[in-house]
Amino acid sequence: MDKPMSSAIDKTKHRAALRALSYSEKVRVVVELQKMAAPILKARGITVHIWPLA
Amino acid sequence: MKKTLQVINEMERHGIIGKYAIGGAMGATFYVEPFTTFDLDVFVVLPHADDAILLTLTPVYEYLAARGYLPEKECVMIEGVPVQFLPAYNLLLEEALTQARDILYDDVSTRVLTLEHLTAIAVQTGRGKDRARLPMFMESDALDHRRLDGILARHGLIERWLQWTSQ
Repeated sequence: MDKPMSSAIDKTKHRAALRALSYSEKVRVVVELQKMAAPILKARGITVHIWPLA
Repeated sequence: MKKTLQVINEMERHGIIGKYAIGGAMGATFYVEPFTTFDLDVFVVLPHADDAILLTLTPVYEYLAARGYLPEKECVMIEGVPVQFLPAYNLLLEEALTQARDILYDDVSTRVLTLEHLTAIAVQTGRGKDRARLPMFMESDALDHRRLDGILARHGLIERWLQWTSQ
């Protein structure tokens, strides 16, 4: 029972930490998410562009 | 994204667009945790003649095409980022642009819609993905509920808001 509760707290803390990032840091995270999603979308026939950060 | 914003700022300086602000997923990301998106939604006031009936993005597309930034689906690729220009076509969007926040992204000045306006626009737009974002917005400490109530009331969105948040 303790483990799921602890996991939920960790997730809440993680989300709060993400919310607290600067906008530049958040954009970097978005680009990382794009890199992760792109191959999955490509396999479905959807082409997407990963943003350059500069 | 930095170069993209510099190009958009230049468009504003040249009078191709009026005031602009980032909205959509990247606008929301300013306030909440980052989530996946592939385009940059930019809300704009379009300069137009007083007798113009239709809002047209043609001058925007022509200006960008002359600089090598070409359309792709509903966006224009600007420095590797697909940008969707969305004209402020109603009073809520006009108000949202008027009250947008000035911010800096890597030393480049830009603007982002307020979280209250992003929330109201999501309610007004009413798509599934807009609704899915609401819990994230409501969890954010940045959301001023009193301010949001005023915006929802001014733009006739209270009823849908109550429908969405009571389920």
